Amino acid sequence: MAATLEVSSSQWTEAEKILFRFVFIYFFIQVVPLDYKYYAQLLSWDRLGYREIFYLSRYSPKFISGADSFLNWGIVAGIAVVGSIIWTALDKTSREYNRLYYWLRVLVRYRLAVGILAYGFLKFFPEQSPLPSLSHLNTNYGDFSAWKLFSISLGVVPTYESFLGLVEIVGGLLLLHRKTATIATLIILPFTGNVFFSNLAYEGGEYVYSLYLISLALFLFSFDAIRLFNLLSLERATVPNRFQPVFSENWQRTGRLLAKAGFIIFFVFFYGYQTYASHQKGPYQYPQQPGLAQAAGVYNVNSFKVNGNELPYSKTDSLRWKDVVFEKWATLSVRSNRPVLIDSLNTEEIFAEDSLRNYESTGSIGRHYYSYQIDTEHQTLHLNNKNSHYKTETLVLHYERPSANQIILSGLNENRDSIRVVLDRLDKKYLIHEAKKVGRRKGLKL
Amino acid sequence: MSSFPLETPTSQVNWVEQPASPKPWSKLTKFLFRVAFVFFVSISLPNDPGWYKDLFTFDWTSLHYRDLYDIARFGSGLNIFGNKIFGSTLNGYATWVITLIFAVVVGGIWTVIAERKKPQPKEYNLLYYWLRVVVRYRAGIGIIGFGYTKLFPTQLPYPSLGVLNTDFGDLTLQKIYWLSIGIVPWYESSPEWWKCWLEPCYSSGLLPSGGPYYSLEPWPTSFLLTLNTTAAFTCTVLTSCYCRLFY
Repeated sequence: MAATLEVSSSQWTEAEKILFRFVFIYFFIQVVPLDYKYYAQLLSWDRLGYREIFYLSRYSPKFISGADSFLNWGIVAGIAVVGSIIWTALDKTSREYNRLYYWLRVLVRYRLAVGILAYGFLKFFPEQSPLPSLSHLNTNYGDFSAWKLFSISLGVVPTYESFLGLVEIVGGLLLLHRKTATIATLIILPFTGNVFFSNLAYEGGEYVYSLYLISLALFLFSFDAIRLFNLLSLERATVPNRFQPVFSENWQRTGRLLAKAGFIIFFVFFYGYQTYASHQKGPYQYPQQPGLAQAAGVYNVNSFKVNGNELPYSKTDSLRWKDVVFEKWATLSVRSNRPVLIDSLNTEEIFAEDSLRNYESTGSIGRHYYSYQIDTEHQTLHLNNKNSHYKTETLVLHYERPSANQIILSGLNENRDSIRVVLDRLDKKYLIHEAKKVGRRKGLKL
Repeated sequence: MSSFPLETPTSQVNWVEQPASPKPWSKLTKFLFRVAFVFFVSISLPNDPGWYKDLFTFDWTSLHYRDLYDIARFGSGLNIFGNKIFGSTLNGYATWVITLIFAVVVGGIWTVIAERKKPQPKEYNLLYYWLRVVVRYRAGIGIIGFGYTKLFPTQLPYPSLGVLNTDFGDLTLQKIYWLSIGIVPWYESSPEWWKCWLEPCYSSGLLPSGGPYYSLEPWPTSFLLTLNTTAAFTCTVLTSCYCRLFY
């Protein structure tokens, strides 16, 4: 079998040049932070931790305020069209843009690597989806939003989440080496493609950003895709990629080495260590401040009095509580038939302050969540409803602890009626832990 | 700073012709092939007598999808020596280890016999081809069997009212996993749906990607296509394997 090699001159066709000019401007704007707000935000930070780096990593140009939207892409494309027309009018001499194309790929490679690594480490040290809280475990399956179910369904298997994080980290690291960049895109495209589809299916809020990362990966893959198709599928002789920059000056070589080493030290070692340290401290999704000592657990509402009248157990009563959960941290949640306006958060956020950490309460109904301050001197809890729709709802409840497993709360409820609630701790066992002890195939009795 | 110029390709490249007589294989390669042959044939054929019984006792005039599904998902590997090794089922993988040991033994015996034969077999290209046929069809049947139950989301159904009113903490890990796919029927079916929809594009070789059907195609109509299919296939099966281990 003999085939003739297609002779391609190093001169690019006019169409190729025009297309490249558009692509260059488009990806340059998408990838390089030109927004002054970005730098203003940088300067406003008084510390630099994984949280700050995470937000740093999630940059994409935004021209319209509000949720991320594909309109931003359209505006970038519009600028690129205008820019490439002007460029075409001015530039009559260039025969090809091999060098510019190379540097554009460098920019995109590193931008994509930052994005992938930032999420990779949050999964590798399973923080993005932490183990479900006690309140989650005591909420009906049907009382969660699809996005919350998606997250807690991953959270119950930290080892699997770590594995997913490892896949992302490997993909991200392979991007840092020119020769392995195509292999990296072959890992990132199916992985982030699945993230994108999951965002659509589970009503997540990051479908624009995940498609943004995919578009960068597709751009990188396209460099080799046509030649791979030519060589492997059509079995035609294909010209190898012979272009690589030559650094003739010493300072160029050292500069390149320093820049690359700096990138790896900052985004891999420093960020990786920070996420690890944070994981040791406890997941960032939940508040840090400890709750009432020795109180964590789910409590049956043994007795519930409103203005002195005992209310019997009821599935339908909107006043009477059904059960109460004290978390290890300072959150208390009440299950009752009182409706909950759903508080939604379907993007990944890392909050520094406890009061903003609302992973436990968002995307679910069935329970009202309160953060609380303990006044040990007067034995009172100062409760604040965590839901943004009930921001003004604050309760002050006096607590008594007659025995280790009983808590009595009394005070005024949200309607300013006097309540007295007797809570008995339940020795509840959860299947996600219990079934693991005996293995999947064995019978289990709780 | 300068750069290497893009090399202007030479005008002609001569491709090496296929040699008329295939190269002989080394002794080690032949031994490894014999082991692989026994191993992969063993884990490609149904090991349950019930499977063969079912095959012939179905009411072929009014088939239920479940019948074909049962034909597609069968257990393989040597189970006549039990399913435990060192007292453990190894999560079900013990059968593989036993089959491998069996394959090494049979491969060894086969090697001893073949060494004494005159003339000795030089290579197993033909047998290798047929081994790939067996494995391709086994993998194709298996993946299609599951593919359809996801395409029309029956494998992981939408949770029942009872489940919707059950506390999250009262479910097992495996149940949580199945439910979490069941709540998004569109997602459950979409990957398969795309594969079917793009089928004509794949068939014409325009798109270098493939669905499960492509494991049924012989090498190498399009190398990239096969490579992609194998990669997609491996990813899908590996993911389900990991989920099974962790959930």
